[in-house]
Amino acid sequence: MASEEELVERARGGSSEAFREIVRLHQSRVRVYLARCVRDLAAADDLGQEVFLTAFRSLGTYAGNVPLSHWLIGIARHRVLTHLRDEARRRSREAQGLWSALTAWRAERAGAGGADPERHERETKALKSCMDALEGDSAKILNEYYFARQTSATIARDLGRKETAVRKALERIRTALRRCIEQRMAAEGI
Amino acid sequence: MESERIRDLWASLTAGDRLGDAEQRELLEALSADPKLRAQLMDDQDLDSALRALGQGGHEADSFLRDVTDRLAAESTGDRFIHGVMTRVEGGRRRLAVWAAACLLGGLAVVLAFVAFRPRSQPSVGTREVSEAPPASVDAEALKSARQDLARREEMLRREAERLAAEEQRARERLLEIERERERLIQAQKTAEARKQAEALEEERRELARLEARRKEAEAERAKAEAEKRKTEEEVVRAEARKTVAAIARLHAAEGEVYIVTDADRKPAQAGDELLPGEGLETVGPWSVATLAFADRTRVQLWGDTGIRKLAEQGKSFRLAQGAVTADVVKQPAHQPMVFSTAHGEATVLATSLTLVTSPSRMRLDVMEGKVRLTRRDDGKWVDVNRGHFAVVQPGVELKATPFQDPDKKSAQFHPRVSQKQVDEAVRRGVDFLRKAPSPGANGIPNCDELILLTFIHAGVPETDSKFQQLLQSVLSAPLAYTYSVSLQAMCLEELHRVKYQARIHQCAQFLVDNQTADGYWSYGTPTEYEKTAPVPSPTRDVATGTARPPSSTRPKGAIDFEAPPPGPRTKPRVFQWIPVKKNRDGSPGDHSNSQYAALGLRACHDAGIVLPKEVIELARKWLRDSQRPDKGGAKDAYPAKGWTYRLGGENPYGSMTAGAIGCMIIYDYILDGAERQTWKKDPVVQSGLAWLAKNFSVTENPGGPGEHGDPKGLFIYYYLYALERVGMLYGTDLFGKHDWYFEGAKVLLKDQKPDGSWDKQDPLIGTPTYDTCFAILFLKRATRPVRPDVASEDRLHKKGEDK
Repeated sequence: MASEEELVERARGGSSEAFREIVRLHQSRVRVYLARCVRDLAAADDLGQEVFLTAFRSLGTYAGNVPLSHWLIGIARHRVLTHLRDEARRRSREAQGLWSALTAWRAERAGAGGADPERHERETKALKSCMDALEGDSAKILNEYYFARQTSATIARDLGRKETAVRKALERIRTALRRCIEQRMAAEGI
Repeated sequence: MESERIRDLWASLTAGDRLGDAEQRELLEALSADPKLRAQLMDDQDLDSALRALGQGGHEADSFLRDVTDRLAAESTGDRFIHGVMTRVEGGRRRLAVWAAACLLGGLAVVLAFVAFRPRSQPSVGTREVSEAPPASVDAEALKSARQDLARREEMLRREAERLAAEEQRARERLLEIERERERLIQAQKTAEARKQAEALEEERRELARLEARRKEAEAERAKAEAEKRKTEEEVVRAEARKTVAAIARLHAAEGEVYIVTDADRKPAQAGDELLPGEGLETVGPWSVATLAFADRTRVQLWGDTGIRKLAEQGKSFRLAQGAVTADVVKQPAHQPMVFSTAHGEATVLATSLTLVTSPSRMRLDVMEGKVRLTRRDDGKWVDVNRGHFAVVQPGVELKATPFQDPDKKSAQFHPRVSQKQVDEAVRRGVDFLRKAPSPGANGIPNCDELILLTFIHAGVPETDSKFQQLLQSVLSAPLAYTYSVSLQAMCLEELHRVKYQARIHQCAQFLVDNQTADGYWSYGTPTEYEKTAPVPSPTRDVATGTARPPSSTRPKGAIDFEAPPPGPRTKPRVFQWIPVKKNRDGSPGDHSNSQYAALGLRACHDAGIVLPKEVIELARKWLRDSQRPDKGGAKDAYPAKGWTYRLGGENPYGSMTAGAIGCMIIYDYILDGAERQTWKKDPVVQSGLAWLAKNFSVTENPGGPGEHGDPKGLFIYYYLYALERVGMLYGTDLFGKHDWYFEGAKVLLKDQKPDGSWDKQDPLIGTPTYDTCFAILFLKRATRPVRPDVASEDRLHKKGEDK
């Protein structure tokens, strides 16, 4: 299997195959990052495509002094900030009070906290690790809802619970996951 | 509770539930108000989004990959399209068009991608790997799944189409917005330009007004400058001339109204001004005076109402138009003598000291030193006027050189600024007072007969006068007991008849020598037993006894009288016998007041043929040198101002002690070095003393101090003035600094005389009008005989010559 450097080199030489491989390797973290920032998954994917297109066009400027994933997240951050600011302006113009505010706050967070690609990497890694540590109903509900894309109503029915209970459970699971992520990050000294 | 409600609303929002407007507002307010809660909830939503994205990863990775690949492939086509769009969009729209076109193209590409590549992958729960290819057999379950998948994709496609449509709409709106903005900017630019133009016009108008005002100002200034230029044209010419023409004389001192004059104009002059060839100098008023100094140290003094014209470029010649000048001319080149011309004649000078007076009817030349040729203008007849002679050019008067009666006193008797008539009258009244005044003593001294007698002698009281004789007999019969008395007696006798009284003078000398302390100065003194042993020589032959000056009442009136013989007190007899004196003992410690009178007495003895021990005079001079003290504040001049105090321990020099001590120094320099060399003129001690006098000059108070008697200002003022007179006369100067000491002092004394003819400062220490009156008269008469080779020492030289 070709190394990342080789892939970059080949992609620079015009190899779409090599670039496809780069996209395959990094799409997940870029899309997760974008989804966290914009919340709308479709918009995130659209932005993700733009990020990779930009990356393809700009490969010549990639010096290789940071990991490729960080470089890509950097492009994504730039793109997402532009997007969120445009969105905030648009929603403001359209008098979408709450949405406008939420978008502005997201832009603010993306500009401030979400700036560090390395932190994003570690958080994602910690999240996966924490998810693996889940057991029983928590693991099942999480998988069903996010990965099997079942609705909370379906899951409630399957588990013989009320939908609100499932929603509360999901909220508790996320809270537990957040604490778990924080602990792991702290353990890593971040 | 409220927080719980907000959390519920937030959970609904996160789950994708639709919130009502009121709920949205409620949530917005709560989140805006509580940043901490907001941060928590958004963290939760972040995590939710991340989980969704992760969950989607497995399902959508492949299609995402394809989408990207397709968009990449479309790039080249897009580029061409974009290029087409760009060429149609001008200027400011270009970037937007590119962006919009890219969006459209991107959208199309996505749609095409979705249509062309129908997703065939199955989501794999719990895994994040890319989906594998679909199973080959299609059963009911698979069909159901495929339908669900299709439905989901259709839904995504629909959403994507909506998003693209919205995006397109936004791009259009943005385009319009930019267009409007551009229009607005263009309009604004036009408005700004118009405003700028208006402003520029207005500014131009203001600038024109400013220029006009400035032009007017400049015009006015030019007119003013023109006037000033005309007014100062001569000065400019002078200044120009100074660059190329060397000044030939400098105005050394100027008092009263003094002008530099040319043919066309005259301008006020002050000390330091330079005179160019062709210029002249004028004093206006009887009290004005000016001194011209030439580079070779020749000096010409202009008295009141005097004018000289046309200083010559060659030599130092000028025309005396009116008034009186006194000149001290240093030796001139033989081929280029100094020429003073008047309407009546011409005085040609090589080196001399002279006074020249001219009036519309006559001119008079007095020569104190050297020789001057006086040529009458009318007929060219000339006469050489030697030292001690004068000549007059006047119709009907023979042109000849006539000797002064008393050449050495001549210059002292003439002062154009002081009315001789007033002086004579004041002296007469002063003498009248002294005739009846008591003769008080002080500090153990029984009387002051010697001081009164000396005053009578210099005031011109004839020896035949009964009071004169009474005083003289009193003086001669008294024991020689006090430094003051003995010194004054020697001065009187030397002045009266230095040959006749030589023996007595010799005794005075013995007293003075024996009362000098081992340090070199004098106290009040005690009688010395040795005077009786001194030889009493008798004249070897008859000598002239001298004649008393005629009484003032018989003299012609007026300050300057051409016909009158120059006044002079006496002609001194020649000394034929030298009598040495030896020092036998030391005196007790004293002060600088006794010491200065001792010096005056020693000088009289010296002039009377007494040979004083050289070491006595040297010690006295050394003492004065050592006891001179710097003035307060010091000085940076070549000769820093230094003076003397009453006693050695005194700190602050003051006037009477300083003036007295300078006189002593000159006397000692004269006795030791002779009159010819005039070593006092280069003596730094004398020069520093003169600097002190110039710096602290006063005729109304005894300056400096405080001394041993306290503040001297109100004490011994006339005693000080007499000391001042002695310095002026001994050194031979009319000025201390810029102060004409005789003029200033005489003016004050003439004003201060009491109705009874006395002077009385009511001095608390020597408070008697007798002393004050004597000192005042001695000052007014300038009683001190100058130290010059042609004065007392003349007889000495004569004697020496005879001896040889």
